[in-house]
Amino acid sequence: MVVSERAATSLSSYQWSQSYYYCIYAAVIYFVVASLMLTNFLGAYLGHLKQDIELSTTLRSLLLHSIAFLAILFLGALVFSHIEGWSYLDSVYWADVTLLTIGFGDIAPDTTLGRALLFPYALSGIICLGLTISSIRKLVLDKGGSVLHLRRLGNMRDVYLRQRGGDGEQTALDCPYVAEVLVITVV
Amino acid sequence: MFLENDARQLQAVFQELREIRDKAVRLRQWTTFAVSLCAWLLLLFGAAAIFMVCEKPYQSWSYFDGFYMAFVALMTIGYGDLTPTTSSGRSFFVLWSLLAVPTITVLVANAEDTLLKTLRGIITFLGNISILPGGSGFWRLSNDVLTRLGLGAFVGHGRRDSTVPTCEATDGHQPMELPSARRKFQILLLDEIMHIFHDLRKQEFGSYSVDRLVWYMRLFKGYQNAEDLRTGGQSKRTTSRADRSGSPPHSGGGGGLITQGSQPSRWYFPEFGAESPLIGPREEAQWILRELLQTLKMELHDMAREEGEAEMGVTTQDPSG
Repeated sequence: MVVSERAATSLSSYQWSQSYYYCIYAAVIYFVVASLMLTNFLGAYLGHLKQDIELSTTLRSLLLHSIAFLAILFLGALVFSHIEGWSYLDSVYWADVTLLTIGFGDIAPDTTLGRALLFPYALSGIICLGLTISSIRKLVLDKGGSVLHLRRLGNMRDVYLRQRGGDGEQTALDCPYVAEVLVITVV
Repeated sequence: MFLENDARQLQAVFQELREIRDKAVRLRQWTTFAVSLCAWLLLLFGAAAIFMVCEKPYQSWSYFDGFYMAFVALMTIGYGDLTPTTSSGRSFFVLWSLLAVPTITVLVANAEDTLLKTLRGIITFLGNISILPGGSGFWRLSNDVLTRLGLGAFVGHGRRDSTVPTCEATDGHQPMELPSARRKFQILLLDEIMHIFHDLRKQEFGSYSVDRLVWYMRLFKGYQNAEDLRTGGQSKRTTSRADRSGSPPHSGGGGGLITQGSQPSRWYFPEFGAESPLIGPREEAQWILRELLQTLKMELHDMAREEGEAEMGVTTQDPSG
């Protein structure tokens, strides 16, 4: 009976490979990024937005740190998949679990070489992760950084001044807001 | 006398603009907190559903199993008793964990601004009444608490923030009297500049009192105008640079010899940007510092010009005498 059940479900027990799912995610992400860039381009072209994106130091460091982190993640996965004989995408899963310090332990290096290489790999990766997270934190806690906050504050002040003396000037804050969103999304 | 009416009006404006600032800051903090909390909950519950769907055919996970796995992973506990094994589950796990771990840090960073600030007050309070040595001893404090409880006056205590001291409490600001001589006025300006410079270097930075802001506004008018206001006389030379709302903040400075604007609200917060004093106490102090330096420069400029004129007068008069 067990055998027949297995035979019956054998066809449905096939599953799409991980590459298939990664392709789907990549397509979705690329679509979002491309539409944001298109919006940005159109905004700059029609003159609603500034032509150039000014990256603040915090954004720049966030960009660099996250790129470094992802590079370490994927390159390390490549190296370890060769050493341990895993498939590359399983290795990416392992690297992700390792560097985010989750550590499930369902996949772990067995060979001595892999275990020895884990020390420098985990060190560099976790340091990179810490840098990324600290720059995200800095970005969030950046007091003057929020353009939305500035705009809202300016509006509140203008409403107040208009109520009071009728001399509140319009604050025209032309801002690369969409550009900022875009950069964050790309990151 | 500095015009009483003017001063009162200014005080009202400052007070209300400060309230607007606090309101906006609170609004921003709670909005970001709510947004990141929602994002985090969505990531957690949504991911639990997706993991359940992915793993159901192979490990027959319930929704709770998916949630458990997501939570253990997100908190970086990582027992490993439940892990994704299907290709869809694993691939989604990589994408999701890379998104969710930064989100939780954002949540924590926001929580420090909002939740933990109130929590820290409670903890400090508990520490004061239990173990930490405070300024006033245990018994006095507990008596204080008891009387407060007895009066039921806890309702009105939310606004008193003891963790952020105002600068007035620490530095003992001098009496606000305008000096009679011009040189002394300049020295006073320098004193104030040094004061603010030292205040700006402090880690904990409270707002200046409204009275002190009004005092600075008086100083910004320059010696001549402040003096005229003091004596109640008419200003002969209208060389105040008070109404500079049209010019950018760093336009070289000192050149704005425009007729004085009568609207106080107009020359407070002249233009709006990342350096506006409305943003926060530190920006406000930086703005005051900038304006004081401008005033001092103007003063010295005027003085140098007058000395030049006097010298010219001397040189023309000398041959005749």
